[in-house]
Amino acid sequence: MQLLATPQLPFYKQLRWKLTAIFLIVAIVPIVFITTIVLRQVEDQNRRQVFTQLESISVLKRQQIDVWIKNGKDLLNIMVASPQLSTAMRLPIAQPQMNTLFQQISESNATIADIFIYDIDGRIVSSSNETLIDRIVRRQPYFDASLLGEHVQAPYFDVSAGGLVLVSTEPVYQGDTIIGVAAVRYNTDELTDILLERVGLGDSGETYLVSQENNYFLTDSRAEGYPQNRAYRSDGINSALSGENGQDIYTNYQTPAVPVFGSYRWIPELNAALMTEISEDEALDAVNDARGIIIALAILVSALASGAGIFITNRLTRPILHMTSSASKIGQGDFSQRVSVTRDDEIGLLANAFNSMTQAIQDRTSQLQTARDEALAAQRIANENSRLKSEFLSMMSHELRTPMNAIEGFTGIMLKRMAGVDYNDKTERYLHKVQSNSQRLLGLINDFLDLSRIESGRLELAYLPMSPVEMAQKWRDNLSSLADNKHLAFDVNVDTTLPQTIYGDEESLTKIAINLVGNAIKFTEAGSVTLSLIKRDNQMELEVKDTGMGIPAHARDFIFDEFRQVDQSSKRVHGGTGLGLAIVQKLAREMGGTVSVQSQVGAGSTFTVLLPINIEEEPVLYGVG
Amino acid sequence: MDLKQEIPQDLLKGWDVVVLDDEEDSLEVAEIILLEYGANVHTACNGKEGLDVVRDVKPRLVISDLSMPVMDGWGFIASMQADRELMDIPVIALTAHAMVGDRERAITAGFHNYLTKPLTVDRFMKDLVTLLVDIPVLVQYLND
Repeated sequence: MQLLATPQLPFYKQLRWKLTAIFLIVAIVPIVFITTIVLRQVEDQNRRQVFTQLESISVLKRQQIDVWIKNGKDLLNIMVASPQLSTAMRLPIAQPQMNTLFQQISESNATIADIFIYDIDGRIVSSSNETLIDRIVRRQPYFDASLLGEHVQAPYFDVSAGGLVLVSTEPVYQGDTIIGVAAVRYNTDELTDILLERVGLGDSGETYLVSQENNYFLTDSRAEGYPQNRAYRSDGINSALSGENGQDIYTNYQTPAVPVFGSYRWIPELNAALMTEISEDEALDAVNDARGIIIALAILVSALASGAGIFITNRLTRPILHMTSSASKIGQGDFSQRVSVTRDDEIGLLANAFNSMTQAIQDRTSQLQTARDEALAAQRIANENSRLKSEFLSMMSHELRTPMNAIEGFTGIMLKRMAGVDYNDKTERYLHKVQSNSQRLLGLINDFLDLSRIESGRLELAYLPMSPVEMAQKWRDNLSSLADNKHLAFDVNVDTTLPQTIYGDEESLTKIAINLVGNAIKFTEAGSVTLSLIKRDNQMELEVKDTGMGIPAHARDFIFDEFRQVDQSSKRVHGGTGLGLAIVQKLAREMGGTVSVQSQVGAGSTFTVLLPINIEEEPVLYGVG
Repeated sequence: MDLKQEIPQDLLKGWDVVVLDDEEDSLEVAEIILLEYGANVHTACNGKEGLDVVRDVKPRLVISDLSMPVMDGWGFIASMQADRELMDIPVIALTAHAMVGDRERAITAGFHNYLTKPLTVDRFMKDLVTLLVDIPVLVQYLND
């Protein structure tokens, strides 16, 4: 027997992996989903927050710049409103006093670098900085505009100053006539200080100004190697220089460009773009931190869910696997297998049911085993008995027949020698009686042996080629004397359509014929006995018809049983053992045929044996060479 | 040969016939009948003795019972078949009615044919003559 191990399923069919997979999917999909949404929201919020921060810084800077500009402007307004100023314009004598005043003002006001006044020809007549007096500012960018009578705010890049110069001017009137211009030069270090104030901009943030006119980079960059007097461009700078305010994510002016979050603002007073930027990396730091935490959390939750899944499926499948293994062992006959599952859930119920079933199978099997052993023992005894019976019969036949042979033989010899000799006494008649009785006894013994051999299945049929016509002739030769003795007509008919040669067991056929014809003659007192061989399709019918006493209907069922004659009295009249019909029926069945009887009491009986005809069949027993 | 006719008393005249049977009475019946028809009958009560007798007289015909002590009919026919000098002598088996399968077995084993016990005066010779006509060598003798 093949050893049945627990059947090994491919892993993808195993309940454990299926359930684990389901757990993982159920756990991980929502986690991934939620994580994605949360991350996106965090990013959104972060972006908004960064922009808000940038914007507020930008606004703050703008206000500081406004304040810074207003400082100078206010100062200018105070100056031009003063009548002393126009006096000083006209009276050179007042100019040194004016210079001192300007000097004092500029020293007390950090916003202002220089204060000066020039006439309409552009000559500086008075200044806080004495070195400027008598210089001509006609070529300065603010000069022409300053004579038009408006306030002028003129930022420009001064190569000699090496940076931004912001000059504000205000015309000085005498009556309706402009007689000069008052100007302040702003201290741009203060502007740089404003821009360099980096509160809220982190490590990478910077605020700077880019001029429209000259494309100058107007403030110190935090980054090394970006001189002020160059033109720099970025999407943000371009937008601001076109007069827009806003926020965006773009790559900055640097080389290589760094992606930044930026707020840009157009500052008309400075003719420049105010850029407030922070690198994307830094801006997203918070998001990255949050993302790291969220992803770690998601992985942790997934791992926990998977672990729980594996644990639960293991708990679920282990008893099932245990039961599978037990069932395999039980299949191999090990009924001592029990599943040890101490659980009060459905699995526990299943295990209990399984154990009960195993117990039931064990009990049933042992009962069956016992029953089978008993049956086998009984069969052995029966077989032994049968064998003993067969041996006994075989021995009996030999033992009974041996003396009969001698009696028969010697009686025959004596009768032959007496033939033709008239002893004139009853000796010969007595010898005939001895002979007929010994023949009857022999017939009896033979019938017994036939029957017992058929019943014990030891009958061997020998299917050999034979001629139905010749067989019928032999029957007529051997049986006609019996009919003659009772003065009965005995006819034998053979259907000419029967095959010339058939395969059959002639001895058994002959035994059937002898028994049926013998019976017919025995029970017929006058008339005829007819034996016919008739072809019926692929069967041969052996029919024996008599004109005898007939068989009553009630008796037709049992006449084929052993030792049965219609009534016991007939046995005394007709003799016989009652075995003949039983032998006929059993032989017919052995040959695959049937026997039937039709009869009318007082009119006669017809026995019909239907047998299959074997034409093609080869001899079954011993090839006769 | 017409079997309906009386079998001539000198049918077997001058024939050496060996009969094997362990039953004395049966043996005697066969012997008497064969003697009636003029045969020189030699008897043996088992196969072993039978072989000796056969080697001694070289008979024209052997009739052998199948169940015998020491060496039965099967052993006897096997020995006859194995002996180049004896293998051509026809041997007829005597079978008891009880042994149905024996008849075909007998022919396969090398017996020429079989006769059925009991031996009765009428049937024995009739059957014997029927069998003898199948043996060409003996037919020649019968016709002479």
